[in-house]
Amino acid sequence: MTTFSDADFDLLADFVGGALDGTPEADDVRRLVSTDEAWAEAYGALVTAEVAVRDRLTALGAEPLPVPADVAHRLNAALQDAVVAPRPGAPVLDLARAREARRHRRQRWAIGLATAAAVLICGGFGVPLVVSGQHDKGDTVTSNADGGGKGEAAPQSAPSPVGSGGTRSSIRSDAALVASGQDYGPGTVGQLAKVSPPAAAMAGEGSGNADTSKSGKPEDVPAELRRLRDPVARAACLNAVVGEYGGQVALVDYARFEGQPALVVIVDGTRLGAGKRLVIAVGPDCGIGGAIADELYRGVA
Amino acid sequence: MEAEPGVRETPDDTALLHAHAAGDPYAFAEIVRRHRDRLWAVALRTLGDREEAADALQDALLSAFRAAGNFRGESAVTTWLHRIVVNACLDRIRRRQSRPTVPLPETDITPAPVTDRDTAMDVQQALQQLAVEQRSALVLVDVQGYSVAEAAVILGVAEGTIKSRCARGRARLAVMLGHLRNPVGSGGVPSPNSAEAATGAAANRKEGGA
Repeated sequence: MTTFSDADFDLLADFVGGALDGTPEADDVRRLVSTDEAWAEAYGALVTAEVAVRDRLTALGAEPLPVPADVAHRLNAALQDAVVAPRPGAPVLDLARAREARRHRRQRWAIGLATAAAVLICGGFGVPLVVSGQHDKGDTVTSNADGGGKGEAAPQSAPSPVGSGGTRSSIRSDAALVASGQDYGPGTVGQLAKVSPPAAAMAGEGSGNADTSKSGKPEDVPAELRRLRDPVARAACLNAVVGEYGGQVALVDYARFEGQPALVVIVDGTRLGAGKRLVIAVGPDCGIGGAIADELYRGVA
Repeated sequence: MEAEPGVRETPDDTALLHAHAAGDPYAFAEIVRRHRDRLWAVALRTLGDREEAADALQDALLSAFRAAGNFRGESAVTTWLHRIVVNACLDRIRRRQSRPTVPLPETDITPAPVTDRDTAMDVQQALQQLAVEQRSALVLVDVQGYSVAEAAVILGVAEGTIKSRCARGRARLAVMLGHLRNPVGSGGVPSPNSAEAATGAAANRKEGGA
């Protein structure tokens, strides 16, 4: 019968696990293992057992262990709260002044003084989709400006456009938002560039009208694009596109490209287009970090 | 249609963290999306309790969210996140003064018969019986597949210490899982401690790892 004390057991384990490599203790244990039958037996048993334990731990790690949905939801909510919570030292928001500022923004929007913004109520979503052209002040116009939503208190604003100089809009005044859900490919995406933004695409703020002829069913729109339905996220994405290639956005379609969720963007007057329209398909990560980040396709038509 | 080859430029974790620190409201969520499954696995396997793991992960991610500006880039973002999560788990374990480890004063080193494994503990249960230092090292290295060097950075200790914690933890798991015979408390072999005059082995080595 081979019985060790805790200290012996730990020492032998350290030796087997390589923790004593290069130390005098390793030489001592090696000498014992080579000269003492009990130590030799113990060493052999532990080496065998250690391999078995490693295998079981590795097998445990191979079992998928994704975050449960309820935990993921809870984490998302906590982080969202953290995003909208004022940071320490942030100025206290004067709600009366904020409401007044929102009212002025709505008035500017209504009388057309706001720079080049287009709104299309996307059929089936029940969520107004807004493209803002007022990026130079980091002041993104939204259609739910008086909604008291979480986005109001967000300390962060949309990134400024890169390369536009901020002096003119990166979005055409008659730009359209479409949610076709269509799966484009290199041979078909150019057709979108031949579609002029429909007049019906221009809708008043919060009008609730929808150009259903141009909008797909909600279930057609990839869920992965949900983030880009947020006006701030979408503005960051479009700013990144225009910052990279110049020009003005004429049309945005929530769709797919070769099966992958994609925001297909038609841009006029780009540096690459040579008079033609730039067609670019970007993935759900577009705009993160102020970059396109997720370009799936680029061409001219 | 004159297609140009598409270019995918996914921002790396460091770029996202800097974007978050600069005010991008979506950057941190993207980092979390990328790593949350692994972080969850570490938290759950270290704590062994679903609710505790969820609390620890939430605390850790909020802490990272707020401390992103302090990230110096000395390690990978994922390593930095793991360190915060593991520390949150260890804090919880220490606060609740968790169950003591299984004492093994006299350990029989004889290989166990196969039948012993019928009553052996589930490996996850057995992990929970280990000292928290050994458990966290084993979870990172053997379960999650991190290198010893990465685990050392995450846990803030020397690589040798990680090796020792893993080795001792595996040896204890071997007993608990039935790969070594359970202690019988009889007999004995010359200990390197008692035979130190002959071997020169250190007598009071608490934890290996130079």
